[in-house]
Amino acid sequence: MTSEGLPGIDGEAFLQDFLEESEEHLRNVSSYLLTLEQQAAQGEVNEQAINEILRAFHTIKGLSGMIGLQEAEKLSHELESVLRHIRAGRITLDPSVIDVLSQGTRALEAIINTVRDPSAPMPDIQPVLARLPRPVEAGDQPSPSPPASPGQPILDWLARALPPAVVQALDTEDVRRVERAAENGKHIQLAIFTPSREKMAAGVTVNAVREQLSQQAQVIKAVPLIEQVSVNGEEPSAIVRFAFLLASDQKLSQKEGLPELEWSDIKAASPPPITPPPPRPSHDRVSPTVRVDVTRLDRLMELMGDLIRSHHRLEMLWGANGKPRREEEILAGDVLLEMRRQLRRLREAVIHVRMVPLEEVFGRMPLVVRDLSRSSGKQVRLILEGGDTEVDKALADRLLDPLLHLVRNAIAHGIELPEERAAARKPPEATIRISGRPEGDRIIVSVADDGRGVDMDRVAEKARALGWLAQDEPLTPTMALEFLCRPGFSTRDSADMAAGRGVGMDVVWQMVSSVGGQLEMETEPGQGTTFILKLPLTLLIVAVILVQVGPERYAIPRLVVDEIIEISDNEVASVNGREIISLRGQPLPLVRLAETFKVNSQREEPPRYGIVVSSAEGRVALGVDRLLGLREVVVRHFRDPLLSIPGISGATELGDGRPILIVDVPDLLRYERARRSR
Amino acid sequence: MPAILVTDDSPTMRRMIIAALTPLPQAYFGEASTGLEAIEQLALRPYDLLILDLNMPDMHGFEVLAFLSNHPRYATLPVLVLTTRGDADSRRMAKEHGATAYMTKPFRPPELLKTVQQLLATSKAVEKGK
Repeated sequence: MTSEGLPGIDGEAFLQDFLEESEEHLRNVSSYLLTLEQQAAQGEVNEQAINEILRAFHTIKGLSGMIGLQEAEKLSHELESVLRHIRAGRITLDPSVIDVLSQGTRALEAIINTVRDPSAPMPDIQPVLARLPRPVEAGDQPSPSPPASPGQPILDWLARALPPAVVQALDTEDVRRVERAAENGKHIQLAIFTPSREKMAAGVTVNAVREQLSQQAQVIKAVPLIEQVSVNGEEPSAIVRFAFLLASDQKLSQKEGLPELEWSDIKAASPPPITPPPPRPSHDRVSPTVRVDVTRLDRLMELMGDLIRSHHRLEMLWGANGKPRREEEILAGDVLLEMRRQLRRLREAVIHVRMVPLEEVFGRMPLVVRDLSRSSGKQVRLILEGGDTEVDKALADRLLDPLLHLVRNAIAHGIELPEERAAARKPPEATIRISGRPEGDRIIVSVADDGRGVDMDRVAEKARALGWLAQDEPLTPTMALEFLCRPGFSTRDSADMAAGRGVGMDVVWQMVSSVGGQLEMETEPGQGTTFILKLPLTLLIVAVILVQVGPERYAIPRLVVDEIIEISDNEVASVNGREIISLRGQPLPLVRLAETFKVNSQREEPPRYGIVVSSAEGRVALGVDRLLGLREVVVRHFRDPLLSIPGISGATELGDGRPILIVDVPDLLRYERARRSR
Repeated sequence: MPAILVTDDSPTMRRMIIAALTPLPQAYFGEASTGLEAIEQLALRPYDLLILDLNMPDMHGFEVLAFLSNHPRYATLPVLVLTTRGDADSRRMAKEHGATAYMTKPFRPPELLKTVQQLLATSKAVEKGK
């Protein structure tokens, strides 16, 4: 390795990049060569594969030159030439040519490997170069299959159907591809994308759009257009847009999860020809990802849930038998245990497929912050952290609104104007930090600002005025959060604005509690406010503690459970009509689920177990009669508002057909509090 | 503060080009991996110089040049074609399509820097002259 290539630059710094990129190109070359070979056997030539291989060698040539790896530069140049000759029809693509290309690729690999491992011998490229096929001289023999020029009808038709700039950009090969696609009964459509800075900030770029379209259609041509557009009678200005000419089996539209595009149909699919179209080449487009409709994943998850239920049934049947076991039964028990482990792994794998990075949601924030900071005259710097943290797609979708509310509130109410900040000896530019991180089987998302903080005195004042807080009752931080989240708290009254938080907090609260998560707030006068959302990884399957209350069974999400304690009869004391137990010397309110849910419990004595849970309301012990164990259950959320029961978020069943209600702890405690204050 | 758009389908090559140009004081570097992306970037932000590779997927460098030269908006944008192919043909075609300058890869960083500095100086002079 010489340092010739990059004087003035630390060439070493690029070696790793060079290796990674070249190796990726070589892998692609290998798989495209396979495609070429398979198709050559059927007498077909995959032009796209040839182009991809050609470009890979071309890129390796350029990079090798830059780092001074002359053997690789020379060899890739020669290989590239062979591909150019094949493309021009001067070399016939037969198995022996593909053989030589494979050998050349392997030699190139070996040369590049000497960068990784300097002790490896530098291969001799002469034998490979000597074997490379030579092009036939022009005029020696006609090119193997002179391409038929496209018929006039198709040209006329395209000229009528497409904008002139698109027609001009099509070359003969493009037109032939349209013709072939139409013959094979494909839909031909034109989709127009208008880029903007906002879209770019959200990751919707022309490359991203092209990539998405190519998942669902053949992109025959992408053409930039420039148009004179006049807005509100102003001086017309030039706007750049991109037209994609597409061929697909089915008509595409806005519904396919595609970004905002303008569609026009060029040609509807005609009935497919009698001869079936050739199978799609397997390496038509090498991509490591597959896009799947989320409803299919939901279906997979449901099936997964059915499987879990069947397993529960088997376990119950097996466990119901109290008699001494025969050997087969013991073995069956082992299999059941094994199956439980397998189901857990399968569950994790299925959940993993549904995961998307938080970036999908976080990516929307910079634009919102920019707009709000501009319109409010406040200077705000946004920091996003942990955007690569993965969450369930369904959760990511529901997270957007709450985050938007929190960010809007932070700018509207939390963050001060630059002058005010300067007076408080704070930097004029405020900071909002949105971060996400996994913690065990949940996700912590926080939104922190360094603004003025929530004015607790004003919150207390307002709460007293509304009759939510007794005159002498002190306001705890958890109560403050709960009040802020009540729909009635915020009005357009300027006092509320100054108190710190405005509209929308109830949206945040509802989302968090509906998914069985927790919302917390930390605030410091003059220092800022942080909202913390603790959310489950997935919404469809949760770990619950099964409990019995009278004849009924309930499931309490494990996420909100701090601990489980035994309660002895004489421990329960009554203070102001509320039952209190003592936990390590501290008083803890006891909420009997039998009472809350009006379950017909014969027992007059206090519940035997206390499930200690915490929410914004504080900590309480939920009194239950029996513990039935820890389970993972598939949640069926009640979406029908008529079915809504206070304190219940959904239902599940364990396989015996009897539904078990899932307790929504934050909602239950709010309901309890409201019930008590009546 | 000059803004330079570096277009090349190889991310390593883009890094190498930007590394060679880091001596430019306070330069802003945009990156594009395809011709389409280059046009998108040019539409959304003003640039003082376009560095353009020729052999790219979807839209060849020549097509980018043709698009730019068809639109008065980009008439004063200098374009440096920086390509691995070194034959006279592509140099001639690049010029015909409106490239301001032409260099081949592998390039020597000081030479690239010098060429870019010259192009930026000329473009500034043109701006002033308007």
